[in-house]
Formats: sequence, structure tokens, C-alpha cells
Amino acid sequence: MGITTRPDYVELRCRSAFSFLDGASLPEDLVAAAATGGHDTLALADRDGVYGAPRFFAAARKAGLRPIVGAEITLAAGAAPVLLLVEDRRGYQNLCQLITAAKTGKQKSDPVDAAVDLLAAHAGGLTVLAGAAPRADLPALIDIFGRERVWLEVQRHFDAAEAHRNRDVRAQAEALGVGVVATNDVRYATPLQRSVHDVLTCAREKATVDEIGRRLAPNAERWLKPSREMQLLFRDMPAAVRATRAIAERCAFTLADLGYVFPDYDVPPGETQQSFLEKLAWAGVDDRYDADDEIRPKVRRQLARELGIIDRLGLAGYFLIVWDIVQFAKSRGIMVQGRGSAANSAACFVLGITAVDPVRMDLLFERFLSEERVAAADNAADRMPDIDLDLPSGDQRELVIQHVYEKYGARGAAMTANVITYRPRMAVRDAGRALGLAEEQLNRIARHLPTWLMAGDEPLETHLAAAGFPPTGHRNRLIAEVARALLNLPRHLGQHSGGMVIAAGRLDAVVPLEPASMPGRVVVQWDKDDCADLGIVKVDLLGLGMMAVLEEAVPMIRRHEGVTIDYAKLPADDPKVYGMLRAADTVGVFQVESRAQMATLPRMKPTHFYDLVVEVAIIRPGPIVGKMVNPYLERRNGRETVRYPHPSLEPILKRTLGVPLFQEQLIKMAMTAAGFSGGQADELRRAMGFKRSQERMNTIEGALRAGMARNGIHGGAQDEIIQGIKSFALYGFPESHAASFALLAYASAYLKAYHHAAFTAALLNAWPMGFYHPATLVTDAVRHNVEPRPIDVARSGWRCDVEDGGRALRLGLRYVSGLREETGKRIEAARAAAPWTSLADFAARAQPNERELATLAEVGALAALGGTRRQALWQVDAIGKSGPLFAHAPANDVAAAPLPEMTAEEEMAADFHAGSITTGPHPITFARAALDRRGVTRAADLGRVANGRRAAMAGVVIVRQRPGTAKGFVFITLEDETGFANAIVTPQRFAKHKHVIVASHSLVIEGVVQNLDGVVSIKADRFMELGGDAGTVDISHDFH
Amino acid sequence: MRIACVFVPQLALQAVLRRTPDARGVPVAVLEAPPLPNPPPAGGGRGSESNGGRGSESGGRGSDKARGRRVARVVEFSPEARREGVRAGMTGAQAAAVCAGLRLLTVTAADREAAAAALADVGYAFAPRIERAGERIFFETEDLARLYPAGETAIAQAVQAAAARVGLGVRVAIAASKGVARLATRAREIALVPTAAGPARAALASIPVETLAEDDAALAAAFRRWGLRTAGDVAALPIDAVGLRLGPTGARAGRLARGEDDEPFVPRLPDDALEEAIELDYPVAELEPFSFVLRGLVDRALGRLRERSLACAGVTLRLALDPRGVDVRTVPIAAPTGDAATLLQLARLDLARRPPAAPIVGVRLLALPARVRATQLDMLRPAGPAPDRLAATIARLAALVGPDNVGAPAIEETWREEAVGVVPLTLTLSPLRGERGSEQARLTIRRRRPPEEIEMLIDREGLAAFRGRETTARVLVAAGPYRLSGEWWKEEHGFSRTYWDVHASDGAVYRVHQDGRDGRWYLDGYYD
Repeated sequence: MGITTRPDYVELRCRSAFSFLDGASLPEDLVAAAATGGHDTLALADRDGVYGAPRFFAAARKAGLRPIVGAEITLAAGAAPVLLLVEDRRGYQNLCQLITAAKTGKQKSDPVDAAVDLLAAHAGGLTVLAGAAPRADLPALIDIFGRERVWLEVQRHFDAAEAHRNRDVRAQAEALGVGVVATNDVRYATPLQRSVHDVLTCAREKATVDEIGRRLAPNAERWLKPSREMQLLFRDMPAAVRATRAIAERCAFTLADLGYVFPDYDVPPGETQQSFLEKLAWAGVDDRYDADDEIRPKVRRQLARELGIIDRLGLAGYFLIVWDIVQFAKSRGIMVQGRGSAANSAACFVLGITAVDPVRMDLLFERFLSEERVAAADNAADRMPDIDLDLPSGDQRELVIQHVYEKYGARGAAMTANVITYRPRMAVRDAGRALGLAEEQLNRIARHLPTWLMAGDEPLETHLAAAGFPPTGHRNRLIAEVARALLNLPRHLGQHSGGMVIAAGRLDAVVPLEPASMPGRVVVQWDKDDCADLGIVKVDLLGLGMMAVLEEAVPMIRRHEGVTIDYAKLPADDPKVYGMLRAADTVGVFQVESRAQMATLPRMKPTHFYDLVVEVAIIRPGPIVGKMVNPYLERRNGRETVRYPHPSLEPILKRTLGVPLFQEQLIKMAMTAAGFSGGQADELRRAMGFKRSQERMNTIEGALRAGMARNGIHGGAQDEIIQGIKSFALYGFPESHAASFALLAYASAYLKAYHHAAFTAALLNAWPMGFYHPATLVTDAVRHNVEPRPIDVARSGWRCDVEDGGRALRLGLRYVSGLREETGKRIEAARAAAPWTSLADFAARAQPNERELATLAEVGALAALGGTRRQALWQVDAIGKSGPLFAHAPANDVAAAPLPEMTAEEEMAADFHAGSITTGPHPITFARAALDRRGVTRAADLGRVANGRRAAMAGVVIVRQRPGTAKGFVFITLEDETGFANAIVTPQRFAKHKHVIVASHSLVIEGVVQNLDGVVSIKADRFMELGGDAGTVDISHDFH
Repeated sequence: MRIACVFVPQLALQAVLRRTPDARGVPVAVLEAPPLPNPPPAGGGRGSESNGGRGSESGGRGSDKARGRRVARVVEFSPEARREGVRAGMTGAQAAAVCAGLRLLTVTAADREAAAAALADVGYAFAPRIERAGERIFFETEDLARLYPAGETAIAQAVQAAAARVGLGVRVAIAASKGVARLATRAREIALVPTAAGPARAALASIPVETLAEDDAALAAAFRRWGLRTAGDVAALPIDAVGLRLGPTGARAGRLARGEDDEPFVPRLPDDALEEAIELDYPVAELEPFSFVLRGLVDRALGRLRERSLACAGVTLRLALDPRGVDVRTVPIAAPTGDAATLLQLARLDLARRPPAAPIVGVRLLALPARVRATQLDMLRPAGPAPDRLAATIARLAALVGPDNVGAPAIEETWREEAVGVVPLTLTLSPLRGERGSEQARLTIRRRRPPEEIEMLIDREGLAAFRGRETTARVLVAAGPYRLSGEWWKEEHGFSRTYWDVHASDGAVYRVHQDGRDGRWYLDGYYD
């Protein structure tokens, strides 16, 4: 039999879930199964890519397994695919370039079809597994790769037909002199995952389990069987087993040998990367600080320290490249600001990359970059700093991205991928669809599911039961089971919103590139975490709607108000701005406009910039779940004594009144209280920023408790610290990041306070963004004495603008439904050439299509050309219908229109129907008389109702929110003509009145008023739909 | 001229309820499959019924992909189903999921034709010439004044009563023109529109513009945009101006709203349909004597068709009942035929299955002509039965055992080896082809249904011997194991089996398996 103690068998054909919908296990699970099954080596070869290779590599290294890289390549002309295994770095580069070339020029959804000549051009360093059936093109493969590198496969899945195929394979192999190797064509780690694979197959084939029939595998044999079991299975073919070991020995390449090099910045002659960086940095000190600024010596000391670290770590080139991108943006007048931990760096500040002064704010540089961390790091990601740049969303950001592509070449730069993994809704949808549920039923379930399922959340079965699919049903139970197994499996590849990777030389020799769905974009096959893990440096160029707003407002204010805004020199701690923030008057203000933020601001009572930093950070799932919000606010208001979980933590937590609110504090707490080393603290830091942080956090908890026990911290104090740290796994901000965002929040609040019309115009132009519907932004502007002016073809441009020195807001043509931008731009240009003389003149020169013309008339945009809306409609419906004579006739018969004129309510409805926004009366105005008769209180008057009294309020629903952190409570915000009113609904009430609450656009809500600390809401117990035209206005943003 | 318009709302629903009267008053959804690219298989023609489930969704069991493309969807539904949330466009499974106890009925072209024919018959009961237009008919009513001196209301009520007798609920309007009458049927159950322009306009004034624009969504949207709510609002606009803006359809709607319409009334007989009729001297209540009468009609009709080198593709029988009432039925024919015996047989079977409610006093036979399709025979096969004869046989069998229990056996798309189902018998000849490759096609297994439980003796070498009801043998050679498992989603948790092919000491090669769930052994069959 010849079985040795170490089995020879190595699994060489194994797919992970990164073969999207054709593999049911994560690389980590395959590695775990391999380790359990006695494998010492494993090859992962996903379809047309190396998507799972980094995670496979990391997991294998941890488990002590040798990972072999490979990919199954789809061939052209319908030939069976080949599996290519990488022998050396040249082979890896060939594989990456082969995949890149096969995908180049194709649409994202196109199948890969590598032609034979492409294989021939990239054959070096690769071994071919040609499949488990005879193939006609085997001689061609032998010509390309050489006889000793081509292998045919034999497989045994206990399928009768396989015996015949194996016999044919051996015959062909013998005839052509190639070797035969045993494989198991693994699709999942354990037999239990067969059902998951079946459901994925259904998703791929778009069929249900009842329809799919024999397109499923006949049995559950494609799991990663123990090495010894495979050896037994092929005991009659020992050579085929030995061949697996021989091939594995030949494939020595691992991703540790990636060959990635970060590009150098092109410095002036005589300069090194470091010297040039230092020159720029010291010059930056003079730009940032006045000569007599007393903080300068401290800055110089910090900068010298940072530059030393950067030099020792060889990172000057990286800083220069980021600096170069920032310079490019600034040279084009594009706002740019570094976010995240980069704001902890004085070097970043003086180089103009970030806007927060870390020295003045006493921020922790080590959160950004630490020598100790780099030295301790066993992972390349930990050696590199992470600089993210915020840019205005839209065209401006695209300009910067295209600049990077141009500078580093199409094959030198690419976006990072975003691996879309199964989340609860998608998992239940695919599982439910496969198991025969209808779309309508799936939609019903989806409405009951959270976006993410956190540990400790209700299980999927509970959500399914709430949707009417109780686990007593056999299929319902299966749906929950399969969906749970699908969670976190990759489903398809997307493009990261802004992560770019750059390489010196060819990036496609490091990782395959593929076209994104967006034209002109190329993405690498790895996501940003994978890139970071393998030491590929990434720069995040993130689009931020608020940056676009801030940027657009500046010229608008200069043009109409004669005021030049410089965001770097805004007055600090402006009382009007802080007064507005304290009153929670923050619609549109960056980061502090949400319902929860508004409910906190009057209790927080911010007066200085640091208060805003705290405010930005405190309304996050981390602090909320960690129950840190109330203690902080109570202490701030003097209603609770400031205390510390342990006296040793006082220096760390003093600034936040003993309550940990920032990631930096938690790291320092772990180091102080539990004696964490730099490496351990770093693991904690990574866990806090990592998607699957919950699992990592659990492993860290043990170390934390042990460390604290050693330092004499036990019992309640220990629990309090652990609770504080663990809750941040759910999402918390680093202080530097909060500070960067607080700067933008302050700038936007300043605009709102002093230039409300321009602020609203810019917000409307950047929409969709933020929390509120455009109609709410306009209503808010009206409440601040901005005169709203309707869309008017004689005055409106494509974008919204300001008029009358900043007193009025003119809506832009972009808010006319169905109006194409090209038509809008044509209207602007033709009007600039000459004013319109008539409707016919407008139609002839602006050339809107019939539908656009009718919509313009319907929203009253043609009012300047004479007549009412219906008169204009009557007129435009005739334009172009009776030949050229009419087209040139002056439009002087508008008054002759026989149509009934619109009522004010109809005009409002038409505005929303054809434009989503109105400058006329608020929809609730039309119902006000009836509401008064019913004793309904106006939103503005609700604050005068005593705490505990009953009241009713009515309004258009603008927010419906059921946050995952609120234990099923639902928050509703209504808007009437006087302002906002908030309602809180208990889970029980919500369950009872769900249909009315979810389906109604406008509501009358009754309940008990809660009026505390200036925060007013109604604890709602009765709900009625508001009818009439107001009831048809749908401007709600719904969140889960 | 006064013209009546008789309108059948929800024709498809009413069509299927005519043949399934017990479904009235319960939630019903009518399914209809998109049309097939090829002619329907033999045995089709009459609708099928099921109580939910997927089986009702497809007419046949072709390939999965073909089935996926032809999923039947709900086209109409009863008020009871609407209350439960059934909507047009749902699949049968989806509708069944939202409405417990929903009856899913499939409407076929024959159902629609039968209902339309019945509607036409209602018309013919009142006028010698009618115009048919889908779910409506039109006929002149002036001649009826002498029969119904009580006036037009009485005529309309009589029409409704006649329609009710053939299982149709109808709305009736009588007006001076076709278009106005058509419009008025959408307003109320019985609508009488005066001839004079002014009163006609007033009578139509309250009709909503959506009804006036009927199926023209763009026209309805334009009216709404103009702030018009009723036909009266539209009537108030200058016609020319409306025509200029909304084109001919707008102008026509404008005229219609004023009670003006110039659409001609064009009555005609069914396209080249051929009719034979007889009135009997005395009522016939038994099938045998009626068959004798029918035989004459069939012979005459087929004789006329033969003269034109045509065959008969369908037969509609309109039976006048004693003392009043009509019974209209369409006899489905699988393939065009010129054989009188076949036609008669099919008609007899239909009458036997659904006997008329009363003795017959007259019969009209409407034969649809068609060209005979030549069937290309396969040289390597024996000639099969003539398609028309086969259809007659199938119809006879279906009458005996139920339509769902007649057809051809087919291997189901599953790895469970013994799974078979019944599919409608098709007459297309396809070359002999193995299921899983030519090599296996040479092996034939004679399968035990159900598999027979056996005792298996296993020794250190593996399978040693087995004992069944009829066979006891030693295992000489065993090939395997082959594992098949699946259907884990089924209530009984699917199957998991290990198969062996064993060469036994009695000389035969058997297929046996062990059930993975309980360890029992079964004999599946033996190889020929």
C-alpha cells in the first residue's frame, strides 16, 4: 500500500468563495480544514483571479501551512479551463499579467476568454493542471508549457461516470507522455457546506432548488478531505498521489515574495527623497505659524522627531507622493483635506496635507506612525502609515484620480477593490430565492432585516418570524440556516470608493487588474485590507459631498455678497455659530445634522471647537453602545461627578471627563491599565478599524483582563474598562479624525450662520448628500429668512444660485424632473446670448423635448414668458405641432388657454411631482385649518407644552429611523410649516401601527410630550395618515 | 341608429369561471403563460387547475430554461383575491403565498375563445348581425323595440340575463354610436345615452378622464396635467385645439366626451368559419340519439372542408336548450383532422364529461378550417399513430382518469434515480438519444418501483450476498460505491445513498443501494 506517516497527498485544485458563487468556504476556513485534515501544503486556485490569495496566504502562514498560489483560467473558443499553479515569482508575474490581459478591454460582466497565444506569452514559471477529462488541445498546451509542466487529473467523487473519464485521461496521458495527478476539485471546506454551495449554484444559475435539477453536484464529495483519506482513495494510483507532492515542491512561490516597490517621488537634482521632504516641511512651518507664535518651538521639536522617524523608516517618498497629489488638487482650486490618523502628524499639517494642528491639539503621533509598531509588525500593513484625503465629491475628485492614473500610467495605478460580502439582506434574499420564495416575500423579509448583524443581535430566525416566516416552517428554518452560513462570504467584486494603489513599474505584475464598471477605471483584485496586508501602499481619495458644498459656496458668496471666505482663517469659536449649534439649528451642517445629533446638541451646549470634536465623535455606535454618551453629558452639565475607572487613567481621560470617547484614549488605556506592549496595542488598534472586529476583539479581551489583573485592576473597574474598549469595535472615531471632521462641521455651520442662502444653494447642488431631502433644506432656509425663488427659465441656471446679495435662493433647472443636463446647459447658453422673447422663441432656441417643455410649464418655470402654469402648458403642448409658421409666431395668446388654473395646493403637488421641491407654501399649510380644528399643535409650539402632557402633532415625515443601537425603538421626525417635531415609538407600538408608520408620507401623531433640557419629543401612541395633497408628498429618508 | 355595446369585464376570469363554476365566490387568480413559439402540445387546449404550487405554472415539462421563460403569471383575479393582496403579474407561487386558499386557474386561448363565442351568441340571440371586438360585442337595437316595448332598459336587462345564462356577467350600454356606447359601458352596469348631442354629452359628463382615455396612459396623463377630471371637462375644450396638441387620439377622445362619434359599425361573421346547424323537432336528452344528429352535422361540415382541401382545426358547438338557454362549448382538437369519427368521438367525450343542463332542441356546429400538416416520418422508426387519432385516445383517457394523469413518463431533473413524472404527450419525433452519453445509453436497467428492500451480507471483502423477495444470490463482483445525495431542502430531509452494481451468482447484474439515513439496503433493478 505504501502509506507513509506523512501523507504524500497535496490538494492542488481548491476553490474558495472568491470564485464568486462557485465556492462555499472562505480561504481561512479552507486553511483550518486543511490543518485539521493533516495537510501541510494547500493550493488555492479561484476562477480567473487571485482574489482570495492574500487572505489565504495570511491564514496559511498563521496555521503553519505552505500556501500555493494559482488560478483557474477560462480559455477562449469554449476550451475547458486550465488551472495554473505558480512556481516562482516570474510565474506569479506571468499569471497576474495573463489575467490582466485576458480581462483588458472587456466589460466587467464579460466572461474571461484567454486565447492560446496569450497563454504562450505568459507560460514561464507556471504548471498546468489540465482537468479531469481528455482534451483536444492537450498537444498545444504541451507545446506552450513543456511536457513536464502539463498534468492531466484524475478525480474520485464516487460518481460512476468518473471511472470512465479517469480511464480515458490515463490513456491520453500515456499517449502524449504527460503525467497524471490526483485532485479533488474542492468547493467547500467540510461536507456541511454542501447546502451552501447548492444555494450559490442556484444564485449563479438563477434557478430555485426545485428547478435546478442535475445542475447541482450529485453528492457532497467536493470537500477538503483529509490528506490520508485522499491517499487511500487513490491507493491504486500511487504515482498520481506522489505527483501532487512533486508539483507542490516545485511551486515554491508565496506572496511574501510579491516584488512590490513603491515609486519614488521625482525630486529636483541634488536632493534625496528625505532632504526634499525636510525642505518642504520646514518651509511649511513658516507658512502655518506666525514667527512669534509661542508654540513654534514645540512644533519644531515634534517635526524634527517625526522627520527622524520618517527617515529611519524610509517613508519620505510616500509623504512626497501624497504631498504631490495635494499640490495638484490645490493648483486646480480643488479643496483637499487629509482625514483619519494622518491628522495626528505635524509633518502632514505643515505639508498642507491635513488641516488640524496636532501640536496645538496635543494629538498622539503614535496613532499614525510608530517605530515600535513597525519593528514589531509581522505584517506589511502595519509598517505603512495611512493617509486618506477628502476631496469634493463628483468631477473634482475624478480629476485628481485621473491625475494619478496619468502620472503613474495605466498599468502603474489602480483603484482597490471592494469585496462585496453577504450581509443579512442579501444572504436571506439569495437563500430565500433559491428555496422558492417570491420577490414580494423577499422584499417583506428584507424590510425586517438590519444591514449588519452584530454579535448579540437577534438571530435571523427572529427577523424572519417578524416578517411572517416563523421557523416552524421547514423551509423558513432552512433559509435562516443557509443565510447564516452565507454571511461574510464574498459575493462579487466592487470598486472601493477612493482607495488607489500605486507601484513603481508594473502593478499588473503584482496583482491582476480588471476593468471596473465605471469607464476609464481599473481595479486590482484585492481590497484595501488585502493590499495593506501585503505592503501595497494605498492612498484613499475619498469624495465628500460637504467639501463640494464648501468649495462651491466660496465663489457664490464672493459674487453675490462681495465677501471672500477663507476656511483656514474663519473666526474661532464664533458665538453666533455656537449659539446656533446649541439650539440644534443644524439642518445641513456636516456631521451634526442628524436627529440624534440634534437631540444631543442642546444638552452638550458646545461653546468651543473641542466641544465640536467631542460632539462629532460621541454620536457613534461605539460610544452609544458603550453607554458613554449619558455619563459624559451628565458630567459636563455638573449633574454627575467626574471619576475614572482607575486612578492611573486620569491623565488619559481627563479631557473627556473620565469617559473614553476616542480610539487613542483606548489604546493608551490598554497600555496603561493592562500593560499592553506596542504590538498588542497595535493589534487592538487594528481590531478597532477592522470589519470583522468583533471576533478579533473577543480574542483581545482575554489579554486585556490578564494584563489588568496583573496591574491590580479587578472587578467593576476591569469590566468598565473592557466594556469601554470592546464597544469601540462597533465603530468609534480617532480623535484626529473627529477633529478633521469637526473643522468641516464648523466651516459648514459658519456658512449656515452667515451665508445661509449660498450654503443652501451649494447643498442643493451637491445633493444627494447628508440627511435631509432638498425640500427640507429649502424649508429650513425659509425659516432663516432666505427668500426662496422658483425655477425660472429666464433666471435659473442648471445649478441653484443666490440672488439679491445673498437674501434669496434661486432654484436651478437640475431640480426639474427629467430635464437633461444638456438641455439645462443649452438654456443657460441661449439665454446668455439673448433673452427669450416668447415661449416659441424659448422652444426654438433651447430645444427642449416635448416632455421637458411640458414639465417646465408644469413647475411654473415658464412664468416669465407670460401666463400661468396651465396657460403655459396649453401653449407648449401646441409648439412644434403645426409647422414652422406657428413656431415663429409670437406667443401672445397664452391668456386664451381654456384650462382650469391650478390651485395653490395643486401647484405644490405639481412642484413635488415634477420637481421634488417647492418654493410655495409648505404642504402642511393646506391642512392647517383642519389640523387646528383637531387641536394639533404646531412644531414650533411643541416646546411650550409641559413635560408629561398629551399633545398631537402633524407633518410630512422627513426621517424614519430604527437604529441598530436603539433596541427596536423607532424615531420619526415630522416637518410642518414651522419646523421639526420628533416622535419616539416603542417596539410594541411600532409592531402594532407599523403599516401606517411605514406607508404614510404624512402623519398625525399623538402621545405624551417629553420636554427635557430643551429637547422636545413625543412618546407616540396614536398614528393617523394625513390625507389630501400633503399626504402625497414623499420626502422621507428612511434608515435602519 | 341605436347601438348596444355589451362588455365583459375581466374576460379571462369570467372565461375560466364558466368552466369552473364552483370557484365563484372564493379567491381566484387567473394565470396565463406567454405564448409558445411553437404550436401547443397535443392534449392541450383545455385549461388546467391546481390549488397553488408550481405545477400549475407550466403547460409542459420542457427544459428548465424553456420553462423559466414561460412562467405563467396572474392576469386577472377575483375581488376576494384582490382583498388578500393578489396582483396582476405575480407568478402562481407568489400569489398563493400572499393568499391562503387561493385557487389558481389557467386561462387558455380556448377559454377566451369560448367566452367570446358565448358572448357572440348572446348577441346573435338579439340581432342577426353583430360586431365582435375582444371582450365586447356591438349590435343594432332598433329592431328590438317591438319585442321590448318597455324600452331600452328592458333590452339591456334582457341582454344581461341572457349573458348570465351562459355564465357571463356583462355591462350594457345603448347609444347612438359605437364609441359612445363603448365609453358608456365603463360608467355603469346599464347605461342609456340619449341620441341628441346635448343630453348625450350631459350623460357622459361625469365619466373620469382615465376611462375616457381608456388604455392610452399618455393621453390620460396629458388630461391630468391639464387639470381635467371628467369627460365633461374634456368636452368643454375646443376639439381642434385638443387635436393639435394631443393628436388624433386626443381629438377623438374630445369628440367622444361630447357624445360625438363616427366610428362605423361593421358587423360580420367569423373569418371563414364554417357553420352547420340543425333544429330538432323534439328535445333530445340522451347522448346516443344526439350523436346521430351530430354525425350528420360533422359529415356535412367536413365534406365542405374537403371540397376546399382543408381539415378541421376546432369545433364549437352551440346547443339550443329546452325551453330556453344556450350551451356553447369548444371541443379541443390536438391536430387538424378530416376524420369524422375522431371529431365525433371528441365531441361525444366532451358532452359526456359536461352534459348540457337541459335537453337539446337545436345545434349549430362551427368548424374552424385549417391546412393539414404533413408529418415527416422517421425512416428508422415505425410509423406512429395518426396525430388526430392519438388526440382522441388521449382525450378519452383523460375523461376516464383525469387530464393530469395522462401523458408520457419522463425522468425528473433530480439525482434521485427512480424519480419520474408525467408530462403531456407530444407528437414531435426526436432521434433516440441517451440521457448521459452514448456509452450509457446502451445499458438498460429494469427498475423496481418502488425499490425492493433486501438483506445484504457484508464480509471483510465487502458485499458478499443478498436476499430479496425473489432473489437470493452471492455477490461475485461489486462495482462502486457511487454516492448520490441531495434534496436536503425537502421536508423528509432529502436522500443520501450509496449505490453498487453487483454481478450476482445467479448471473444477473443488479443495482443495489444502501440508504444513508437508516442503513437499509434496497434492490433498484437489474441490467438487461
